[in-house]
Amino acid sequence: MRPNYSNKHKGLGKRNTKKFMRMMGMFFVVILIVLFVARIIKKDSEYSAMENRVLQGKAELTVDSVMNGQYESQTETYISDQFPLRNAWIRVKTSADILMGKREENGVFLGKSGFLLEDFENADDKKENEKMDALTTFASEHPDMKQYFLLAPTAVNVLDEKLPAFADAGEENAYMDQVFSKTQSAGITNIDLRETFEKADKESLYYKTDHHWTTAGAYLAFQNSCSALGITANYPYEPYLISNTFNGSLASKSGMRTTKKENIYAYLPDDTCPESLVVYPEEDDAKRNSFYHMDKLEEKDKYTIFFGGNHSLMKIETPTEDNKKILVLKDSYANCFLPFLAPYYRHIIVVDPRYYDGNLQTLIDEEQVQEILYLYSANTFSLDTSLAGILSQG
Amino acid sequence: MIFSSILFLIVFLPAVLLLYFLVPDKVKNIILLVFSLFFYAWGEPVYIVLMLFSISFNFVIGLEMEQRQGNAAMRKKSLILAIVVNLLILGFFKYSGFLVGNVNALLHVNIPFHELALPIGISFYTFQAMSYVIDVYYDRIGVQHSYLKFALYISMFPQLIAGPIVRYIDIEGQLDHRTITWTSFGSGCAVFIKGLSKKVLLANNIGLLYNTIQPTLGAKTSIVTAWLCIISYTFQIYFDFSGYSDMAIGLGRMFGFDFPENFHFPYQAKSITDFWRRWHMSLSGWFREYVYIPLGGNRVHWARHIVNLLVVWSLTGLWHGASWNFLLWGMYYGILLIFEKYVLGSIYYGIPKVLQTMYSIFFVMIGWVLFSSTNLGDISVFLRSLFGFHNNGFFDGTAAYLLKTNLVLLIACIVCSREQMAKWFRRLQGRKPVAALALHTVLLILCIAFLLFDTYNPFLYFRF
Repeated sequence: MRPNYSNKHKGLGKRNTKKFMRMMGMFFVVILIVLFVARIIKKDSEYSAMENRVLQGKAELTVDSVMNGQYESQTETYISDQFPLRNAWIRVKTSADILMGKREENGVFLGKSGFLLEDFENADDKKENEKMDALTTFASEHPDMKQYFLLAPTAVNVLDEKLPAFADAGEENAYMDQVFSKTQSAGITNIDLRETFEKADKESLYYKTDHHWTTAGAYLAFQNSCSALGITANYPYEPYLISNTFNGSLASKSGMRTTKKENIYAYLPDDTCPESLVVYPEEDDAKRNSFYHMDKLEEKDKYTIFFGGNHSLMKIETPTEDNKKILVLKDSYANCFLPFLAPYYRHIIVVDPRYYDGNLQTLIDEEQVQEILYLYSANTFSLDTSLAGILSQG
Repeated sequence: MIFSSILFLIVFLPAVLLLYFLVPDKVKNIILLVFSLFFYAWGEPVYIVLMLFSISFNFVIGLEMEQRQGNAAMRKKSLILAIVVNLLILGFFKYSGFLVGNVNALLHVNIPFHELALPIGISFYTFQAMSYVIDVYYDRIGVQHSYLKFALYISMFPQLIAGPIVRYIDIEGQLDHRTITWTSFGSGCAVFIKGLSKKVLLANNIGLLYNTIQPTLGAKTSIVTAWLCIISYTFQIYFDFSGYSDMAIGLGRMFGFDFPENFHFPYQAKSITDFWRRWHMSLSGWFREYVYIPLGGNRVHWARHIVNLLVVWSLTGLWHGASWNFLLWGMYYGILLIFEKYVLGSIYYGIPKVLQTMYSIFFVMIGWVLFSSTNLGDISVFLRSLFGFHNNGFFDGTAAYLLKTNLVLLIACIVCSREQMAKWFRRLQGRKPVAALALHTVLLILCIAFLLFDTYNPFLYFRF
């Protein structure tokens, strides 16, 4: 029950209520003025590193743009994009969510030990069948070519015990089983890393704020691919820290843990390892004698240190004794994996089907490719829509 | 434009407040009207013509009725013309698609139809205009001779697009004269912040839970998950709508208007009859005043009374949208009210209050099942999941996860829908004004943060 006020207290309550309302009115006006002035003082920013996009500028005022609503919607975006201390406000919101017990934002889970884990998504059946049919048809049409299929598990699968309890993060494991059984019956050599990863120091294999595996994860993957690929690992590697300020894509996607900084390592071999040359046909055959684009350290997405990000086509040339040539069809998981592969092939042709618009068969013929390695993370492979097209060009 | 947007909060509102309080009293109505038209035109640059027509037409009808004073037959003609034209406009924009669709399906014909976008707020401002002409006809109010004031009554931005449906009779005097003090202004701010918080912090977030579950509803949904779905919708619609009404009332008060209360803790209702005295009171009041009572109300033979109730509630249902499920939803309430009046009668009020509340909230939630889905098949799937007719399990991991991650929010929703919470707020203001001020400020800051997060739009390079 509420305490019974005496008359004196009632009078005080009334005076206090009035006092509150007066203060509220004045304070509300002050807040509006502060926000308004802050907005005027603040210069427009062109780019948000946190969101990795160009921010909306002032909308152009024309009769057409007003009548079709473009002016209105652009102005609304402009006002919120240019809001003073925008990123700090975003953090207020995600912190409030976490306090309230929420553990998911934009399809990203905030897991234990600070891991951000992206939920696994299945593509629709039609797309999935198209892709797998293209893969098996391609295999049967190229029986003389050795084909390997490395489908990397993602963090949500290997580190599933880090997920919030009962979180529904998709069925990556089941999906991988299904894909592997299809590739196997098509005569492709599978490289399944799940058992190895489960036994390893799991937390070191993935970034906490990014959707990629770490270089340590890629190295372990490489060591476990050698026997399948028929190569003998010859060179010892040492990890070198190349960035300690990496904040990855999952932090951007979710708005959570955007201030967490992580390390990126490059694994470098000893002197006995032959040096490779990387050719970038899309940049007028520009040549570099390093896999690492150190200029990308200045950018938000520091994972692009490896080869400068994704390219439609790259050629890695290494003066090896035998003349092996391999084609790699890949997503960005391959970027920190390829350096380990380089010393064992004279030519590695790297194609990212998401960007490649040439004819794959022509490329295979021209380069006289003998082997193919598919290298994808399970999540990208599941959602991929470009592989089917490139494989069935004929 | 909507209140719960950054643009409204940091550009529109400061601008209208600044100008409103700078200009002399005579000009204040002009400022409000100009900003109201701008507010409407922001999203609807074309349909503003329609609203201006509606304003002009109803204004002229008022003047015409005044001229025909003493000639009852002619006055009645004006009234009928006004009602027909208002309903035709509403019907054309809101219901013609529904009508043509059903005629096509029933008669197997194919009348071509081009679906028009529904003009924002048309259901609200048409009803306001009709309340004016009907009350003028019955001499309940004086005729408004100032086009400016009449236009302001119809288009006033706080209640323009989502109510409450303010009857002209309620603000007749305020159009001429208003007093604003720091106290009344501040109480408006407090109500506005509470409304904004209901919408942004509660409705939008519990709505995410509904949006997570709703598309997955089916034979495999566990019973608890299905109930979480309808519970989240129940809270979403309440906090969304009542939050919007609170914002309207608060904004009105900042400018010296006193709008009627629109929601009075409806989920604490003790019966369905009670629920409708607490839910969207300005709409049910409108139907009572302008449809139910003119039809004879309850002072007629019981059979006629039942027909009256069904008519009123079918119309109430259809007012919410042009679709069969809204009609069904309205009829559902009509039947429940008839049941309470003629079957349960006074015996009902003998059962414990807790049971009365549980009975009411149960039927209200089932009502929301009908309301939430425009597709009759979906309604059936939803109902079967709720009651386990799919042989769906009672509880599963999904339910556990959703329950766990939304527990705080669900508790907040329950607490904030109770009258005790409002009393607690009032007591805090009376005892610790500074703490109350701090609480409102924190709420406002959280609202801004949550609104900004809606525009958080990271570009994800790894997904094309």
